[in-house]
Amino acid sequence: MGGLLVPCRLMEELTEPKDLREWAARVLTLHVFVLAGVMLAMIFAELKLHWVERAIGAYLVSTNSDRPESGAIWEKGRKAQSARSAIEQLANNREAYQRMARNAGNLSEIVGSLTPGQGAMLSAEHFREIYQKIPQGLAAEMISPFELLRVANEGRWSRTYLEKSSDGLVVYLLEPNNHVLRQFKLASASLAILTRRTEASSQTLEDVPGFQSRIYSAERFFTALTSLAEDERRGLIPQPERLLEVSGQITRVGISDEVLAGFVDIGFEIRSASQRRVLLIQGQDWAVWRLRSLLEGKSPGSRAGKGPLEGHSPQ
Amino acid sequence: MTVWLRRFRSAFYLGLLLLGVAAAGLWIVFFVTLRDLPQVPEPLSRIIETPPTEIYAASGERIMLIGGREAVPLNRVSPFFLQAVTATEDHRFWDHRGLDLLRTVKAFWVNLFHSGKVEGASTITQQLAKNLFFTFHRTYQRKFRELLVALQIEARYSKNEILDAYVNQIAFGVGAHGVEQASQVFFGKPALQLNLAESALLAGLPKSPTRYNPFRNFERAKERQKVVLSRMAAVGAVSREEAARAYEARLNLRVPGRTEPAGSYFLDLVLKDLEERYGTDVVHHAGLRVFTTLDPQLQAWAADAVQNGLEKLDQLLKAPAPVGGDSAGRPQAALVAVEAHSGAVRALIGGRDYGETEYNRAVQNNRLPGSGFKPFLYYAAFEKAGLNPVSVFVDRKVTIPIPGQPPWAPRNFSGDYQGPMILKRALSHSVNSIAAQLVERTGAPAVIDAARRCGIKSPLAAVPSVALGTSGVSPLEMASAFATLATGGMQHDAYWIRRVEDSSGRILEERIVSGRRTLDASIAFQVVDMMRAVLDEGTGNVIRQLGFHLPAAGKTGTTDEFNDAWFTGFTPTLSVSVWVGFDRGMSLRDPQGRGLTGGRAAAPLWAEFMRKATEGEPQREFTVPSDIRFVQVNPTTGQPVLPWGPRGVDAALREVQMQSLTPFSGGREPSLAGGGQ
Repeated sequence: MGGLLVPCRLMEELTEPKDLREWAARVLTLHVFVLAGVMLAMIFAELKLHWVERAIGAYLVSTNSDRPESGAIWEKGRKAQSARSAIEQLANNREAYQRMARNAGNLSEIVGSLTPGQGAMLSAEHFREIYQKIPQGLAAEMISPFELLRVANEGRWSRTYLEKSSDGLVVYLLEPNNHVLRQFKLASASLAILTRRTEASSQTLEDVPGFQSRIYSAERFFTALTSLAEDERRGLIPQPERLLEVSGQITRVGISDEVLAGFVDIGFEIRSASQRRVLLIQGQDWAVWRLRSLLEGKSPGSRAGKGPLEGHSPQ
Repeated sequence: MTVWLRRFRSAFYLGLLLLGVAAAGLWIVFFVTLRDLPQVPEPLSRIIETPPTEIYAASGERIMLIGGREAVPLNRVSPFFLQAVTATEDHRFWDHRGLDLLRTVKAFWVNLFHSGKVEGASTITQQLAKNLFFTFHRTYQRKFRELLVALQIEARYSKNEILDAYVNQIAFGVGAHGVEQASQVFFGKPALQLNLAESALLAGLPKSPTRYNPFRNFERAKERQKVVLSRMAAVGAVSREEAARAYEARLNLRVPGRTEPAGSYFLDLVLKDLEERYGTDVVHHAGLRVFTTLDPQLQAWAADAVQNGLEKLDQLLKAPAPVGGDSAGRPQAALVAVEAHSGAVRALIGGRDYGETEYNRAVQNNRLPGSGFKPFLYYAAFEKAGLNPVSVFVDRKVTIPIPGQPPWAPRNFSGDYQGPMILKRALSHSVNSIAAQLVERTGAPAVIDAARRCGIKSPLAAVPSVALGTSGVSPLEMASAFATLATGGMQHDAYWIRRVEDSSGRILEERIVSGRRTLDASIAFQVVDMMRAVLDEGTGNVIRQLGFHLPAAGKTGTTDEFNDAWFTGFTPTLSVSVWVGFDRGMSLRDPQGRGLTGGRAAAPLWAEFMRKATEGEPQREFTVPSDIRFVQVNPTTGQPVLPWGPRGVDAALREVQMQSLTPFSGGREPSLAGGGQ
């Protein structure tokens, strides 16, 4: 209470002095001196110790986390964050399809992992492995194996870049500085052959569209196959190991009506203990035509014949 | 009570009341301001954490840093610089707590009572707060907010941390942020090695980086340096004598523009390309690593060639001296060097001085190429009209009717006509009347088709005069298109970015250098062989006179009224285009009114650059296709010269074309060197 009384009395007394002498007498009292002294000390302390700045600063530090992240530096931080995320996304995507390409066992897996405009980089060795697994006709469409051998032997081929475009796949054989040594293209129709399904969803050949009119017993098929020349057999079934890997027995074989980029689907109906399924293999059209001629009892004639799949040939 | 006393009493109460209101107001303002006061990041060094985008030359040398900061701790900054910056910006920095009360009161007084005079009192901490959070609009509210943030920074961080953050983020101009980068840009040395004079110069720049830019306004920068030194002496950081000696000391500023690609036309091109592909924010904030095709040595030589060439042209044209760094009224130049077998841009200069004008004449300037376009015409004529280098045409006045328009009657530069001559001579002497006859025979679309196949992308008007270069192109296009001829018809798109990586080195994209055959190799070689004669005996023979003797081919170009002068030429490995002219439709004429041709204005720049760029290189000949035979013919009749007769002109003919020559043609197999000269 005493603290409050002092200013009250002071104010009351200030209203009352009658002259300057009385005023001076009242001002020059101990409590006024004390008050002035305290004020001067505070000002002096501020000048020397900056306690006001420290106090405000300390208060602001304590409330820092409650305040908004605004201003140039935060804006820059946000931009940096969003820019880094965008780049991270880009790099991750690229890495993902690069990884997929690196781990791919064949060209169709690589092609399947790319969208138009995307590309994948492979080592020269990896591409050579993959090249060997491509059906002969398609491989030759890309580059002759002898030409590839020549490039490999020159010693400058270090990497291969495969770029998918809307009209096919472009393959660049690169030297270490990314200069193109050879460049070739696989048209989209040929790509379609590569990426074609290998297993039909149906269980029997009758259910696979395009096969109904040419279904033969396995025995008849293999008899005809045996009488073909070796290169014709290779043209018909470029990768026989795929059939050898299959467990179960081939019961019937069908030939599709459709020719796509010089290839024809051959369906093998396989029966195992628990299920039946159809495996599809793409044979070259001229070889399929030769087989069909045999199956239908016609003279095989010349290879350069026309439209092999015309006409009708019941089982 | 006296009247005086009553008045005093009223004033006293009023004063108390006002003081109270002011205190309450301040209190309210404080808490209102506090609500949207920005949060201060922890730690403060976050301001320099953004990884910079780094741009590298083909040699692996880093040529530019975008965003981010090249931060150095205080112990790696020259003490002279720290003294200079504190003496100039805030000499009580080590004593106050964010607010220099005495200076603030003084500034308040000056600003209030001395009209027209503005005095600042921002401490280093306040400047740091402003740079980190606020705009540069001067308002009392912003100043108050800035002060509060400064108080918080002072309460939270040590003086060293504050000074560290400050010196690593201030702008010094010329794209330099932070003392380390500034030291490298202006003096080519680390900040720790700055001496007193250099420190004082740098410390004066942040006040107005453009005004005091020592590269452009050296005198002003020296005046500012003097102010900084006198401040240092005033606060006792150095003695008056030391300050005087530092002022007199010679400053070894780096020469901008010549060897320093930072802030160059090439980097502008790279940045623009990156921003189009990735967006501005990614380029400036994501910390990319960009590997370019630039060869710093070639770039330096290109800059030298352009500077030296323009200086000589200034003298020749009696061009006015620059006023205040403004080169208006003086000619400009552009030079682009492209690697022929890849399209990689190895050097690119887009003007006289990037600091003066950022307009990139190497890529943006669609100027008329004049006769520089004729090689495309000759290629089209050989391919479509079955002509060859020894076909004879008559140099005569020609008028070509154009449906719906006045007839086109091109004139020769020389003004006279020389009668019959073979096409090789017509090209090397740049005869317009024969070019007009050729385009009349082939049609403009064939010429445009040839230019497109070489890589010209600019719009080309399908009119006969297109063959004489009346549609604008850029030096980059010309260098790139002539590279297609240099490689015997393999076209490579020009490029300048080899690879882009993220900050951790993961590849985002890389350039596959692939070319495609767009020209017939034999016809392309015939055109190249004709273009060799341009240097050896034609309009570009100044190149040989200036001491460039390696196998090369090229073509001069000069437009009507001498507005544009070109020389584009190539060796088997490097294709270089040089353009010279004024930015605004002025003619390149000397004081006597004589116009400067491409051979006189542009070819010397090309020669100087190529002399240095190919120094020490072995003689490399252009690859001669297997069906090419060389034959000596009479330049007027196109008939083979007799073995015992006077020497004729060497011409390259395809085997099938040899049959049209008489049996004593003297046709011979290409030599091992392949040259026909």
